[in-house]
Amino acid sequence: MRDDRHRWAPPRDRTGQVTAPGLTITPARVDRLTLLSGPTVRQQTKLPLVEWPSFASEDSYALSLRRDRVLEVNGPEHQDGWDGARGLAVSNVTDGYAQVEITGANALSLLNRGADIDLRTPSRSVARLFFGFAVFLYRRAQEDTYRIHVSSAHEDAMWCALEDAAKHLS
Amino acid sequence: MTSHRVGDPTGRPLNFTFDGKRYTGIEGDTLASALLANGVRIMGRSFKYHRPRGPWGAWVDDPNAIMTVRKGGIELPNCQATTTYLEEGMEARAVNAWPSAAFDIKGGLDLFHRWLGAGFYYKTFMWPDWHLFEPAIRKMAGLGHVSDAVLEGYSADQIHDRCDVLVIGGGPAGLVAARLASEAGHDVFLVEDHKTIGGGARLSEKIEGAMPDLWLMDQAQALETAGARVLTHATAFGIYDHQMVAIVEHGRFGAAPRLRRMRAGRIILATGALDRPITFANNDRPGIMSVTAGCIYLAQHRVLVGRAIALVSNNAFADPAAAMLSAAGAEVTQIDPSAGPMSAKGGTRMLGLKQNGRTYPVETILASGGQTPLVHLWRHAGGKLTWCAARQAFLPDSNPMNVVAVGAANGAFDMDTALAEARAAGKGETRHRDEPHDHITPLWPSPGAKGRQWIDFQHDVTLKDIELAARENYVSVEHLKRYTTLGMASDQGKTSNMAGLAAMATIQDRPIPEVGTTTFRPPFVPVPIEIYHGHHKGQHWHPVKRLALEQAHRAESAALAEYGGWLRPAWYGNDGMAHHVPLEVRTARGAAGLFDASPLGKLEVMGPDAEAFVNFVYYNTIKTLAPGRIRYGFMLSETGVVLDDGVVARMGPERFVISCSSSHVDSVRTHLEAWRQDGNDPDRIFIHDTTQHWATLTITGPNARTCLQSLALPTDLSPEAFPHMCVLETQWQNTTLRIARVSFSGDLSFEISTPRSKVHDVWQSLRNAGAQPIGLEAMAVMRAEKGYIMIGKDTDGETMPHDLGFSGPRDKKTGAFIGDRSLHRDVANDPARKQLVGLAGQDGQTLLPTGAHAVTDEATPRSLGYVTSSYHSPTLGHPIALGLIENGRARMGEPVSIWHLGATINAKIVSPVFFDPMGDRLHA
Repeated sequence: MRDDRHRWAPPRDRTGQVTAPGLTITPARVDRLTLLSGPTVRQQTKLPLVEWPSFASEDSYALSLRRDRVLEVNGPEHQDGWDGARGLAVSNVTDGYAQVEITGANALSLLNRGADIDLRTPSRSVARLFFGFAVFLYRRAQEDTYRIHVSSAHEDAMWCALEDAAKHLS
Repeated sequence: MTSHRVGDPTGRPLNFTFDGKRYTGIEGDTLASALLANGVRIMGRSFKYHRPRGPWGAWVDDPNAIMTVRKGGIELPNCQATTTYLEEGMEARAVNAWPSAAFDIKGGLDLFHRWLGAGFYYKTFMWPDWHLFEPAIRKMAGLGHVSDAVLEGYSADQIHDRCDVLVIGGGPAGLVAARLASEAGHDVFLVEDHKTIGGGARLSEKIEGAMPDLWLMDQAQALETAGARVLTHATAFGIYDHQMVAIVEHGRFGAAPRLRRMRAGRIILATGALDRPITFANNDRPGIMSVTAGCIYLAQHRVLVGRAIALVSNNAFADPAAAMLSAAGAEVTQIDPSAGPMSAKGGTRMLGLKQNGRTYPVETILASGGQTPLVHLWRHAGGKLTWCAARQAFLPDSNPMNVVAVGAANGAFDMDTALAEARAAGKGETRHRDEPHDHITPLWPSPGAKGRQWIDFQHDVTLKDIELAARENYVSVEHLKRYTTLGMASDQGKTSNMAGLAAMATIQDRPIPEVGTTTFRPPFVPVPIEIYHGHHKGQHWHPVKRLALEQAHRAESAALAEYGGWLRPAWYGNDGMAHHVPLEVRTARGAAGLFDASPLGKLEVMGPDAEAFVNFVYYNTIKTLAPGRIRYGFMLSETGVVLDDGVVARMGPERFVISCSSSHVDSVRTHLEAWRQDGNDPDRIFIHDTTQHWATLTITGPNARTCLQSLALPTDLSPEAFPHMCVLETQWQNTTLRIARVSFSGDLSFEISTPRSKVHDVWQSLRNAGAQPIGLEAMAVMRAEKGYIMIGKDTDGETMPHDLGFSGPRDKKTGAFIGDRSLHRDVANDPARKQLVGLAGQDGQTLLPTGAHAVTDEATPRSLGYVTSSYHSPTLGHPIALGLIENGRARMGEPVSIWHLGATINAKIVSPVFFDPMGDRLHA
């Protein structure tokens, strides 16, 4: 087998922020991500439910992923497994995702390089295919701030895609 | 000089070269208009016969003036001179010509045209072997050649966009439609492929009573006021599902264009129409161009294409065109093309046009055999066409949803009707097409006519080629296209298709609409492949997944390689695989190896029906699995073929963790989600993919337990308390660890899963305890020593579980499971099925090549199966191999011939378990 190690550059340090005309891209930290599934999970979560294009204005909130699934961000701690009393499947996935935040007047323009993002078209789900990655994308706190959860193993690839796209902004 | 600039040039002068000669154009010129202004007519050579060619059109409809253009170290092939805007310092060279378009050394090929008809090389070079001739033919074929130079920074931007109304075409109809739609409050986006709006406006004397330039200024102002977005120098080249229109935005020369994916609520096509050529003898000569092109060169570039012009047309634009050209100083002779057969006289220099025995001494012929609406995009959108006998053209028929064609694209060739249609479309009103004021005289090719008459200028398809195709029964237009190359490449039928299918209709004595058109497919104009991938190229095409420990692996000199989408250590060290892999195997077998198994699937199945569901999706019986225990099993497709193998851990009564193969996580998750919703109650089963939350380390070898115990876990890890195929969760440094006692190496092993953020600490602690890192190649050798399979390597698309020695569930499992019925088909019980076996060279020393076939000893050998895995075993000191062999298990000990690259190796069929057959090490 050929030694091809030279073909892959090490992933870059993603702790700093990237600036481009009209926007900044920063890593975002969350304390806990909990995946909850169940037929009534959307009614059961105590956290504000975030759909598209509503805002996640609190520190703790629940992302609506599909009719029977939410992702609680910085929510209360749950025991992993099947909660028979509430009819919920629970998994801690805090380390399964990396977070990226894009803010600025050109944020939406950047996002539109990765997917068809339309603020006028609502959706019950924040799940998207963005630059080919399955992500959760939603608005955060203020009008021109967006947060993306991408699977941890694709964090570096996502940053590369965002940086490449940002080069086209003026 | 025939063609020349009229009046005083007002633009900035721009210097350029063509075929090595220096010329000067002015800003706003295309390469073609600048060359015509300098009196240059021959701008290219045809594909097959290398006939001299001048431009036929003035924009995308020109098939002839194709050039390689270089500027500032950037070279782009196959640029249309008619659409390439001139820039200072451009160096243009005609493709398919050497040393120049004016004098091409291959021009002599034309002398052999009698032997070079359509399909000649399919027939001529069949004997003795096509491949003897293929290299030379391939070398001669094609037009421009791509430069080897890497274009630094040539990366296309890709952007998604939306609008209420998309208007394609910035001519009078498009402008009026856009204006009215935007004034009605819609978000309007107008795209125009020239640098300036206007289209054919400047060919009119007046529009709505105003001079064209003033009228255009008024429209532009109104659009701006109403908030419409206007994008020029951009081409809509395709319409796809859900009204997604692909627009290529051209920039300066050498800059990668941008792809805009526009999703429009409503699309108005104002794409205009093209003059189509008239088919007569020598109609491909330089100096013959379309009437519209002649007028556009004059109106837009102040270039008069000839001094003595024959204007040959069958439609209403002939008179205004003649007036316009005469006013600019040309001597124009209007000739009725239906009065008799015509032939162009002259070679590289036009000498005249002959009709009915009379030769008109002209040096330029402007021709129009009618107008062909540009319906490409209409057809992309799924619109139908209808034949209009009055216009002798295919016109848009039934509307695809939310798409409407207006103006010349809809057959409205006169300005008033075009604008009326545009107004209605802009307001969103439905308007039926008007009957035309005039019926044009059909001007189609006459099969059997004398002289060489060109149908497709770019590919040298003549009327005789169409006749030949018909004689050889290539009568479908799709077959005709492929046999003759009619309408291929950049032309895409713009100029050639109508003449071609009309000729075929005449030959077959069928009406034109019955013959039909070829399929219209994107792109409408040539676009660089770059725009399709943009960022998604190289390693960004399918980005690898990165391990949390990648930096740690790099620090240990890991040779990283892609395995199933993950970047993983193949081995550690800088002295090559052959050196390091045996060392790693011996370390793991002798002490403890530490393996990063993080990509292993961690799919949680939970809910009241989880047990029944897992039992259903697995071949093996899972419902009897007790909490805290693990079972190995297969997932099958409905055809009974093995999809994946792995272990299932039962974490609780209603919670299972499926540890599927590393590279199959996405497909297994999809498989489970599909079955969850098919025949099961999706409200009672839930699947969570937690693969990336957990990182997994495997510690394997006789010292594995000792190393793990060094973590001082509050858990009894003894063989009695924690036997093989058990799972537990424990705490370490305030972190949950999930430890599974399973083995892929065949030795004592523990899989330790920890949240990704903690894995570095676990790795380092185990390293400090003496475990040595091993890569995936060492693990692959160890599992083969034990006879453990890799799905997709030791199985193929026909392998069923009983082929691998697992027939129990097929015979005994009582509950339903996926693939059950297929396992009882005749084919599943064929005694000649390929079964997993071990293979060994008779001499005990020969390494059997992976992929080599076991063959019968008959005069004509037949394959009995093949080698699936083969390694030199560092543990055993001799080669080992696994294979799939017909009825293999019944042939234990039998000799078998392994054939590879002409050589035969004598081998024998043995047990696939080479190491620890009694499992003493596994259960240690």
